[in-house]
Amino acid sequence: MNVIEVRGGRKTYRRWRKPPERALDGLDLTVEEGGVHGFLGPNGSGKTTTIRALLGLVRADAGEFRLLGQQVPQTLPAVVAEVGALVETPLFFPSFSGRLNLQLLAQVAGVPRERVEECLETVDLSERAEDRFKGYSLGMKQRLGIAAALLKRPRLLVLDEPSNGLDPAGIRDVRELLRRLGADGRTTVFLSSHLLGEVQQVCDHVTILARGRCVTTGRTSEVLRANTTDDVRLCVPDPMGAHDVLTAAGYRLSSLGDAWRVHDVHDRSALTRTLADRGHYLTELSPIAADLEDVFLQLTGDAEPEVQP
Amino acid sequence: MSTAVDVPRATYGGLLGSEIRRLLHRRVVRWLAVFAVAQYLLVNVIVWLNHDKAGSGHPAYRLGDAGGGAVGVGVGVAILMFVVGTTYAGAEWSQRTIVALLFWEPRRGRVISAKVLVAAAAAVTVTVVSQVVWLATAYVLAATKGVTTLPSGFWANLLDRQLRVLIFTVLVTWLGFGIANLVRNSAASLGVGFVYFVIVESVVQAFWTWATPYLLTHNAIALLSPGGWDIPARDPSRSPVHLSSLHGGLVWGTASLAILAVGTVVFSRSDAA
Repeated sequence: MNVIEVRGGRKTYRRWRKPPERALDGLDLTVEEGGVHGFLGPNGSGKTTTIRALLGLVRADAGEFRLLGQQVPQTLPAVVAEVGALVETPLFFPSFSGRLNLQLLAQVAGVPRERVEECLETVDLSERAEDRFKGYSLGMKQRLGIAAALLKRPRLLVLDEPSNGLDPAGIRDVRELLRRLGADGRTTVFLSSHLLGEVQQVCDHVTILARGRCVTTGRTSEVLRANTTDDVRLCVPDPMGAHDVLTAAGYRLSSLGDAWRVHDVHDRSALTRTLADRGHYLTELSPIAADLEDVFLQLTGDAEPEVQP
Repeated sequence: MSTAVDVPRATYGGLLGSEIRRLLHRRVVRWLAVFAVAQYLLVNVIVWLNHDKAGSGHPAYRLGDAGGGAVGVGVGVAILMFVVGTTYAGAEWSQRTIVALLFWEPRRGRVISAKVLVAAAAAVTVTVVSQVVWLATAYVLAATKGVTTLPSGFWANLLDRQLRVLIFTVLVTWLGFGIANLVRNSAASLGVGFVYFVIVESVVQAFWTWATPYLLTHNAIALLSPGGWDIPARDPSRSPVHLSSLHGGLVWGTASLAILAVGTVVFSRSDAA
């Protein structure tokens, strides 16, 4: 079953005396049940708009949006009890305590009070639960937002930048929490984040967005594999000499600082032979495995230009 | 693969309960209550000091006049509830907590209706409590600084005025809530109220006299006064325009409900982001 489905999603923000801003431009998105699904994209690519449209906060101009099989926003009330969300910054009353803020939301949703204490415990806020929200650090505010999202024991947990403001220990805790939730067989976590390393470590599936469209989607390992190139990292005692030799032989090179990146090397033995024939002997030749950052930059069109030494 | 877990069931009662707690826990509401009590005590101390049982120097306080005081207290409570109404809606927008609430109850009509009901319930409660307290105060004033004998028809007259005050306070609270829900900011909505009552009404009375019978101030007086209110004519040769209490109630009801309705429609149809 697909917990999220978007077909042809379009949304343009029209604001007075400002040019229209197209946030979604025919977005197609599918998130299958279970695990952690990463949702990546540069600023303004439409991630938050997608989430807002799914949660009924903004109205899409066109397209079909489904949550847990139900068309939204029309039938959102039927599924909202099984969806937890943290969208951008947590929104709570500043003068209310963390506990009171959660209790008020729990009361709206018919969630028992004990669940509030469980969630405060989960995010390690029990001891500060009576403090006012405005006295919380950014990380504590974020943790309270995550606690609110967990209150309903959601089947679908939508988190938009949950690690914002968290210290390294907090980021690690959130990562472990997401892994645990994604593995519990009931919860699907839909994680929008800029922290590509985090997404790579936590997510089983990933979708990358650019300019309001999906540019790739699939299992994280498959997305990485599909976008891995035949580039190699090359170190030699005489870098400039090796550069001239390889360029003359038709190879394309870019600098990695202390080494060369040689692009599209389909036959590594031919490369070593070319260099050895001209008296250049390798100190390192290793494949460059693509990480999510490379794939992200490549697909979203933000890749750095080649640099020549 | 899913394991059975109880899905929480949202109810309208839960939403109402949450809204009541939300309103009662607001610090600004508590401070307004403290301010109102302090003002009430101050005014009544002054009244107490300026009356005398024997009638020597100061007049004696007559419990039979408590009806006028009931209206005075009611108007004070109505102004207070206008501010409560604006801050109740305005704070939700300025903190954007109303957006968070939509993750939990996406039916925007239900969200607004719950808030409108809670605002009305708060207005009714505060009005009833304030009127009871006023009656007790008036009795103490009369017992210590005047006479407690009541004229015939006192209770019917008092109840009539208190009911008018109750209706007026609910409508004023909704007006404050409705304006804040439209402009989405407490301070701005208080500014709208100030501009209307101080500037717009003066301009209308000076240049568009035909619209005077529809001004809120005249209609408030008409609603609160048994028998209605005669708007004094600027030209002594012309007779005053009479506004019935029903006219006053209809104008106030139309204004409050129209602003509430427009705010609800805008809220229901616009992006909440």
